[in-house]
Amino acid sequence: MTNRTADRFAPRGTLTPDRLNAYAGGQLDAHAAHAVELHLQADPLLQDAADGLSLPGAMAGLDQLAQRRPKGGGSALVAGVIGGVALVGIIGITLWWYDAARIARITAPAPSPIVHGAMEAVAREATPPLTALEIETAVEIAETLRIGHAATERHVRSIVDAASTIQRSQVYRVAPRTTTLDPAEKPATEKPKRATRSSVQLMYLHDLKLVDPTALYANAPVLIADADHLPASFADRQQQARTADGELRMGYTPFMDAALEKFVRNDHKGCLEELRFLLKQYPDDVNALFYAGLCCYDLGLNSRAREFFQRAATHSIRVFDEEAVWYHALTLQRLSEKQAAMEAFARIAAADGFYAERAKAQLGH
Amino acid sequence: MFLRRRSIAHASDEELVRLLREGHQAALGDLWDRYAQLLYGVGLKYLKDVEQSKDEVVELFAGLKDLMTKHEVKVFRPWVHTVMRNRCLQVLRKSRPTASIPEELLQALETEDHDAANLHEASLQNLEKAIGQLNAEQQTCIRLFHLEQWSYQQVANHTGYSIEQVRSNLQNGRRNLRLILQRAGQPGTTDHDQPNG
Repeated sequence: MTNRTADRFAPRGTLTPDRLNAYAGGQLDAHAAHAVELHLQADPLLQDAADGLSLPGAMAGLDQLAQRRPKGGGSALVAGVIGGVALVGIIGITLWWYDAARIARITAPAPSPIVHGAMEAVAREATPPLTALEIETAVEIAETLRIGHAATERHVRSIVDAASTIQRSQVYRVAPRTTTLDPAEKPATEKPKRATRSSVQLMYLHDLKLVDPTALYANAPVLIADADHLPASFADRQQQARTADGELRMGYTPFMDAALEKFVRNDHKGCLEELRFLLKQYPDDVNALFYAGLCCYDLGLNSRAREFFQRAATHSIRVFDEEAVWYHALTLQRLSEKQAAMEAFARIAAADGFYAERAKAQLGH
Repeated sequence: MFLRRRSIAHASDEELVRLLREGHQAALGDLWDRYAQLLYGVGLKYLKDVEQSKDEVVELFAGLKDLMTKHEVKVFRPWVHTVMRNRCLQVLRKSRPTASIPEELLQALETEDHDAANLHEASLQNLEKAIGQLNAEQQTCIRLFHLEQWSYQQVANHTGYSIEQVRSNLQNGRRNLRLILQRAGQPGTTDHDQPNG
């Protein structure tokens, strides 16, 4: 039996769309790239596709293309299954609420109920992480359409407050909210017997609200620089290396300070790149999730914005939930998911919270 | 219902084509899931325009059922690739009549046919001999890419060729290898053209 060479020339395994995208985005190491290229060598369609997908702007367009899928087929099935699971979940939660007046709403860090219906659409399989290429090739939307910057927004400290003597990193405490926003959620008939969360520490950087990192992490979080990322607060890598006795790390608050400075300067790509870096090390960081959502929206990365807002809105630390729900609804509108957006606006309006009037305006009331 | 959908999900492209011809609209969605991204990439490669590329993909799928009733589609994958390339060619000719059309777009697609089996079935000894008959550039690229398993980029860095040259050398080298192995009498092969290395 002679040695066979099939493994040298034949592609191995299946090339998934995500893998092809990662290749086109230059995110694979040499070994993984070679494995993809074996497929490209054997299939002209794949080679042409990879060539096209590696061009600037390709990924953003791909995101939009997905919205133009013809009706029917696999995604409908997935949506059906998700819808079914969600329905079972809704029924279960409703029964639980009826039966469990003994348990406070805030006892468990349940997802923000206001987003309940609208979130079904995004309760799908985990999407691949945001890539540098997506950010690089994103295109800012018109300034008049951008969100998250006005002083009248809930996460922005008012001008009056900002002029006061409050220091940048001063800690605030907010009482837990008791609003009941879920259509399936019934008003509590009793006060909670216990609450696991009495308050959440906040801080403001560049007049933007954040959850204090001490409320998020047991130990003071640090960001460890990698070979590809130079945090914004360092002029260069030498400066970075000199800091902290040569260790390439920095504190959470200065890191967020630098990131949000970019945000207020309308450098959404710069800010998003910083937040992407943070999320790689702290994937569930609610501050990063919320501001990444704003950046994505302003950069036209609507599907990404939807995902970030959904995660911020359903985060166990419910500090951004009201804002995130509102922006999530706006994102649905931009994604042309009109019915879902209207339903979300209706829930926000009915909740009579900070964004209720704006939601009513959207509904034409 | 679920079983039916699952069976569609596992259907081959050609089975989906048949189902679509028979009026099963769901099959169109499945073909979209398999091919829209790739065809969009093809569009981008030739049209260099995100919006146009998206539009061409959407229009291709909108007319797919009609198109398939007019043409016999034996193997969907190369067929739909050709359809997309032809659409790009039409767009370029229409919108940019004075611009040069990419030569690649005017050439017929070269797909790996059953002759590729020669390559996969060849013994190392025969393969070494055949590689030795390629020109120097093709030899280098074939050895580094297929035997050393380097990426295009690594081969380009090592040789000083551009990525395009590496790809071209690999493509031509593989074709020539197949022909050389056929001539050498690998099992199941017949004589073909001389290599043009």
